This record gives sequence, structure tokens and C-alpha cells, in this order.
Amino acid sequence: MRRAFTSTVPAIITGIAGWIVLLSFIFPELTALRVVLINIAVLVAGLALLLGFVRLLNLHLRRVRQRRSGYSLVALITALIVFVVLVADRFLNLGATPWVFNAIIAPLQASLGALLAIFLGVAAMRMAQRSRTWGTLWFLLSAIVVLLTQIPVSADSILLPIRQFFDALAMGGMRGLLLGVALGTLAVALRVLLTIDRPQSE
Amino acid sequence: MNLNQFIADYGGLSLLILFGVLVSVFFFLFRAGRRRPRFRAIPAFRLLRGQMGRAIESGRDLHVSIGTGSVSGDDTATTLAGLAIAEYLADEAAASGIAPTITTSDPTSVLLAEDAVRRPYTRQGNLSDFPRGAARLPALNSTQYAAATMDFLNHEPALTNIMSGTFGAEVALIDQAANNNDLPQLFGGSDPRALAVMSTSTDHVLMGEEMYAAKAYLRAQLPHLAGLRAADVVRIVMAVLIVIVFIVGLLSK
Repeated sequence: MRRAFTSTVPAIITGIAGWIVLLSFIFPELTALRVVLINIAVLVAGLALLLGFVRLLNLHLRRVRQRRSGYSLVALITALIVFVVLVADRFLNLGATPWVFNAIIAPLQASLGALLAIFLGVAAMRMAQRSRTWGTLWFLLSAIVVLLTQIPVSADSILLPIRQFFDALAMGGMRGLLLGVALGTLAVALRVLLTIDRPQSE
Repeated sequence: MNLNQFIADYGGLSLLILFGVLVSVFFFLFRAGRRRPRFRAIPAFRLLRGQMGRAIESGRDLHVSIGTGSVSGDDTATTLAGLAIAEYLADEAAASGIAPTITTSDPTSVLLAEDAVRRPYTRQGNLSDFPRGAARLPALNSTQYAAATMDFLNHEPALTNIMSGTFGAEVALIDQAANNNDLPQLFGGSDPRALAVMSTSTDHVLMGEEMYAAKAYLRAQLPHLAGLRAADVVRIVMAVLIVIVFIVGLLSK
């Protein structure tokens, strides 16, 4: 009986919801039902976000107690300050919410993002040192060619056909990858809709 | 009518037909499948086998990241595919009373991840041994998550860094931390930027469709194998169709 409630019922609900959403793209009569289901999903996701915030605080509090990392203390204090500021702004309309995002969070993330370029360079160097194979050489040459072909060229430049050729090559590879991803996605969806995979509890 | 117009008008119908073909092939293979189909070897999966045993022996953690995708959006299938690896490792570990450390930046995915870790303990009837906190949510967006994972890898005793799910270019930050700590890595993803970055630092990369095949390769159960074979058949059909459409388009000009 317990198993029915923890495994079978959630699997059936997931399957029915999935089929309704899928069929609603063909039969417009089901669109209203799809909107209801999506609204329920949004509500659940909203509640999960609240729970997630508590989990986040809990995790970093535990790490601070275990003296694992000083960064957890910074994360904890920052999360609480931002939470208080956002709640206060909700009632007092101080305009602090956009300020927190634009003046603090966005620049910090941009700084971290800027490090990516350095880390990518380091990764390329590491690859050249780690495995000296034809595959590595091919990979690094491709990276250099892609970088060079990103240089803007005018419409009458003789470099334009070269760029178009490499763009077409890259696009072909990308489409092959995306085709595999799309089929993989469909295969996972198939397993969930037919209740072969039950990501929910059992 | 051009292709874009056709997709706009008949995209849903095409999706349903494709899905119908996939279901039909799946059932045909599942019913006819007395013999288990054979697939090419994917070396990345070999790294996973026995990882939990090594983690138990060394007393270190196995870090499994399921990425930044949610289970209620475009990334659902990718996240579920990533979760399959976490489930496999959790199953392997449950008998020893330990669990891999699973991290994500999505609050809906973390619930599913915790469930995946708890399930083997429920099956074995020793829920009291379930290590709470095995599924972690260290941050709520992708860049912050990458920074938090760097911190995790730098300050906690990790044995291996396994990443499988939705990742963008920020994976380079995690990769840097893993390399600084000499951790073996396995990466599965569908984003070309993340795949390009990770190809530079590990040979254990699951590219796109390979990641979605994780359950079939790790569990080797008939429904999963039949699903994988069905996807292969549909892929070949689609490739042939693309070539035919290309040739017809070329000749009509």
C-alpha cells in the first residue's frame, strides 16, 4: 500500500501530466489544461526555491561550524543581508533590489566570468602538456582557427569565404551534437512517460 | 513553403510522429529482445565502476555534480540523465552506509538528488543510516555555484570529481579547482562550450547523447537497452532523411 503511494501514484501523475503537455501541442483544446499544469509546476518550483534557500543557509552554517571554509561564513552573511534588504525593499520601496543586483552581484559575477578567459588559456596549455597526441594537436589547431575566424571582416573581404567555410564546418558539428542531444532527451522523456524510469521515490 | 514555416505549422505534429516512431521501435525491440543488444564501449563509464569502493577505502568523498538545470524546464532530461549516474553511485555505496556528495544549484533538482541517495537505504530498510546532507545546494545560480564548487573541491577531501548534467562555460572554474587538486574527472554534458572546455582536461567525457545513455550502460536492464537501440534506429532514419532532403533541395535549385 505504501509503495503504491510513494511510487505508483507519482509515476502515474507524472505520466498523465507529461502526455497532456505533449498532446496539447497538437490539440489546442488541451492548452488550458497545460497552462494549469504549468502553473502548478511554477508554484512547486517557487516553494522549492524557499526550501532551497533554507537548505543553502543550513549547508553553509554546518560548514562554518565544522570550520571547513571561511567562504561559507561570507556566503552565509551575504545571503542573510541580501534577504533582509530584499524583504525590506518589498515593503519600503527603497529601490535597493536593483541596486544590489546591478552594483554588487552582477559585477562580482562578471569578475568571476572574466577569470574564465585565463582558465581557458591555462586549460589549453595543460592539455598541450598532458597529452601530446595528434588529437590534441588537431583540437588546438581547431581552437586557433576558430579564434582567428572570429575577427570581423567586411562583406567584400577575401577572408569572408574562408570564414564562411569554417562557420559551416562548425555548424555541421554543432547540429550533429544537437541532434544526439534531442534524441537523448526524447529517449529520457519516453522512459519517464512510460514509467520505466521513476525519478520519484519508491 | 520553407523549412521554418513548416516547423512553425507542423512542429508539434512532427514531434508527436517522431515520438510515436520512438515508442513503436522501443516496444518492437523490447518484445523481440530475447538477446541483449550490444553497444560500443564508452571508456568514461569504466571510471565510474568501483569508484565508491575506492572512496570507502580512502575515506574521501566522491563529488557528483548534476549541474545547474532544473526538473521543471528545458533541462529536465539532461538533469535526469545526470542524476542516473548519481543514483548508480548511491546504490553502490548504500551497503557501506556512505553516499556520494551530490551538488546542484537548482532547488528542485536537489530534492530529487536527495531522493536518489535515500532510495537505496529505503530499499535496504536501514533509513537510519542515511547520511542527511549528502545532496547539497551550495548556491542558487550557475556562476555562484561554480565558485562554491571550487571551494568544495579545495577544502573537502574529494577523491573524484564527476559532473554530469547542465553546465555552461563556467565549468572551467570547477575544472581549474579539480586540476589544482589533481582529481580525476568525468564530465557529461550537452553544451558545446562546456564540452570544449572539459575536453582539454579529461579523457572521460560523455558527449551529448552518450550522457543520456548512462542508465543503459550502467544498469544494462532490457527496457533501457531497448530505449537506447530505439534512439539509434530513429537517429539513422533522421540522418537518412536529412541527406535525402539535402539532395532534393540541391537538385530543385
